[in-house]
Amino acid sequence: MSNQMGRPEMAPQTPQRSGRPGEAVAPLDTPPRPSVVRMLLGSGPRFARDAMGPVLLFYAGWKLSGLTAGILVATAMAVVIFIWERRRSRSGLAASIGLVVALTQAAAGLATGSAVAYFAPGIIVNALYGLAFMVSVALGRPLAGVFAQDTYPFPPAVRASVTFRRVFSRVSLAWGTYLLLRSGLRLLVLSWRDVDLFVIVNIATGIPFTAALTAWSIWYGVRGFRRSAEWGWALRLGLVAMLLLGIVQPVRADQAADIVADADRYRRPADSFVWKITITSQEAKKTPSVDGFEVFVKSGGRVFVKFIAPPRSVGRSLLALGRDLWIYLPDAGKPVRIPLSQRLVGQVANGDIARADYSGDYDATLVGEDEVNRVACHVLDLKAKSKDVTYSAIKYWVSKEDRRPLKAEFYAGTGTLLKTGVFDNFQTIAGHLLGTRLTLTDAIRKDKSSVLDYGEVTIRELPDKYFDKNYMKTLD
Amino acid sequence: MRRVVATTALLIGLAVSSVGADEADAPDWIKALRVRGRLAEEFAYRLHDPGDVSKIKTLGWLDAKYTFSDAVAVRAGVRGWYDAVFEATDRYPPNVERDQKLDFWLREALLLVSRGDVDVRLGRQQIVWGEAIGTFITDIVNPKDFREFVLPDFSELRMPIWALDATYRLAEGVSIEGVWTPDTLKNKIPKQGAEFQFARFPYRFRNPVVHLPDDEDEFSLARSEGGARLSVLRQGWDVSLIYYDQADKLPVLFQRRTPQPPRPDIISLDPQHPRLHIVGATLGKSFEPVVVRAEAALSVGKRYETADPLDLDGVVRRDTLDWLVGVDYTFFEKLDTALQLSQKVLFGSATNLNRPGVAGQVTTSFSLRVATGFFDNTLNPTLLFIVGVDRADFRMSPRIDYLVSSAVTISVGADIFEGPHQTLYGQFDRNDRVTFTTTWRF
Repeated sequence: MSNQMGRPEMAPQTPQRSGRPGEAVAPLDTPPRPSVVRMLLGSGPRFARDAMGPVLLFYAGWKLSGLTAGILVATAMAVVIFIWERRRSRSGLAASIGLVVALTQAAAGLATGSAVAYFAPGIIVNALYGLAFMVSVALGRPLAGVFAQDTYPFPPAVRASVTFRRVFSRVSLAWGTYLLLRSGLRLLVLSWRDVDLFVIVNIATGIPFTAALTAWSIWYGVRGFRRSAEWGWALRLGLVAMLLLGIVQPVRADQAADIVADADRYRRPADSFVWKITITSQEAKKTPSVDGFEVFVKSGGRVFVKFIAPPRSVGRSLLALGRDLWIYLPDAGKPVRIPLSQRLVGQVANGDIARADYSGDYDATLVGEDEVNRVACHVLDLKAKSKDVTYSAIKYWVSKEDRRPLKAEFYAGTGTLLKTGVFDNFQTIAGHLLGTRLTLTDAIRKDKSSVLDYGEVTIRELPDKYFDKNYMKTLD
Repeated sequence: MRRVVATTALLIGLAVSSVGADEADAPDWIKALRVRGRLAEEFAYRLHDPGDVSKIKTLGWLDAKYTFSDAVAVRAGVRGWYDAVFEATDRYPPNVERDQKLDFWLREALLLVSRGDVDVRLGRQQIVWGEAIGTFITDIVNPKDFREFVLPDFSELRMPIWALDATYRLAEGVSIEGVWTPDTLKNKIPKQGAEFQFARFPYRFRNPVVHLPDDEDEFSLARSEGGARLSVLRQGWDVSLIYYDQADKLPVLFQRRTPQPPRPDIISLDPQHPRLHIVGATLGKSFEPVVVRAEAALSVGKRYETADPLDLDGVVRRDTLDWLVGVDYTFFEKLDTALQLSQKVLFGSATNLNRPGVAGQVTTSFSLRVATGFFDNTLNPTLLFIVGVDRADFRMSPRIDYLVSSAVTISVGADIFEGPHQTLYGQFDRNDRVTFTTTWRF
């Protein structure tokens, strides 16, 4: 057990406890130890490139060949940056936003033939950025933390900690203030319609301030963690812990995979069956909304979901073949590809309905033991085998006695805790003991939740054509 | 008409009663029957001078499906509307009022038979091919109703046709589909004076001109149309190859000169629908969290009107390749974006071709669709922006849908067009509008 605020007293094989009593741990990744210089050298140039590269290229192209050339080279650079980031398997959040902004700018610039119109969307987006930083602090989900994850792989337990939120809230406030002031100044200069002066102001208030603020953010972030009672000890012991975990984890991997595979059996009664699911989404002070689905499941990761309520959704359907997903919308008249991670309804992602196979989608590691409602549990850390799944990581509580799933925490690629899930109401249906209720609760807004009630089950052999996207319209 | 109203009332009654019925107690024939529908009130106000209402349309849809067994089912659907704008304003000429005030369509009348790996759909239907959203590049089988440009949902733009559509699954993930139709319906073009009347071709004749009617049969075994699609899904790569043989759904105005010495020749403009052979391919692939889609269609035999005074029939052949590549990505797990780049490439010079949508030998356009949801997706803002890069014409359509209840949706939106007059969106430069729609589904 650990004390409330200070350093946990547990063995070094689980050094990254969150500090809360009874809470088990996520395994350590093996990132390099953070330092100001390493992080600045690693992410500083990338940040400066994303922020200033397209502007400088635009200016060069505009001066040398005209507006269209300037717009095209700047847009091309944004596209190249985006592709580069994706190929290096980084989430490339800044680059993604840069790409969208660049494309909007290009459209505005080309549509109007004006350099002023070209720059305006960027300024507006920058101001929105500033506002977003401020709002994110108010919501308790500081945006700087999301960007920090883009440059340094913080383990889930760190991301969920109080120190993380405190440090990155302050960093977010600094960035929000800077971005709003800079946007105001640039808007003022742009209103004078002097593009040369604008570019000078853009660069003068851009690169130096960005570099200084980036350096300060990293320095302040590292210092904040080092000085915290919650994580200071962990940074000092980090290397030792990583070595120990490296030895411990492989031994536990096989057992972990078995546990997850056994837990999956409480969520699917047969190889081929039809399950009626009702999802009740609720939020404080609001009338709950109810959505009904008829889910056809067959081995090989094939799932067909028919929307049966409410009236506005009737006629829609989803088809999942492994990790490929299509939605059929009567208005479009054809199946359309969508990502698994897209939200279906309430707190429920498409993958929550279409993919119930954690053992197939995630690599499991046994990281500790815990109790949920006085039931002794294994605690497992599940990491996505590929990017094609709904969640990047899941922290999973499975009963030690009969390996039924009891609780889960679902994390995004940025390491942010998205929602928690509780499995209960276990009943014997068609000769199988099944968990018939899953309650998903938003990680930030605890009053927002969705309850998945698994109702009538029909076990029967379903024809293969039910799982053909060209047949979706016929099944409507 | 009375029979239609009575049938409609009966179906609505069945639909409403089926909502409240206890499914378990219902007789088998009720369980096998699925009836649903919606009613909508669409209001539009034109912003440019003369600012005025441009639509007060009441629409109703009703469709039903009766499933005899896993192998056999029938479906039927109707749609009707009444547009009261023609009572509220006299801005539109009588021919437009006749064309657009009242409308009643049999949208679907279909027998579905499925046996083993073969599925057959026989009857009046929409057949939709393609991967992309909001474009018709390989969505070629059904003609389109352009009376409100391309602003309504695509399922409303497509005009259903009588056809036989058979699919055979060759192996898991591989199927071939054949389509045949004698229903050679053409695109529905807005009448002269309509709100979204297309820009007319800028002829500069000094001769007298006679416009001949477009009176080709709309049902002809001899000129029947058909084609096939081979679909393959392997390792998440969704690829299809398409061939379709059809008459051009848009009329091409051929010129014919009739000498009348000593007076100048009379020029007759004869709308014809030349035969097209369309070869295409589509591709879809998810690189989670990014979805990529692409489409291409080569129209062999495509013809365009030309302003070249030396051209005898005023029409030139330009085989045309339309292609598109699109990317979908969800930002912050909340903001769905779809970006598409498309080009129309003419095999030959585009000089003197002044059709909206053809800016030159290569016409490039971008589209960006952004959508998100608030309050558990009860408030859903959407923005669609399409820009023609060559002539800088664009369309911007912001919209907010609010789900008042599980059955009622209210939508507020706008359609803004900008650009030179002879461009796809610029031709409606003065047709900017705001819209307000209420929909009730049952």
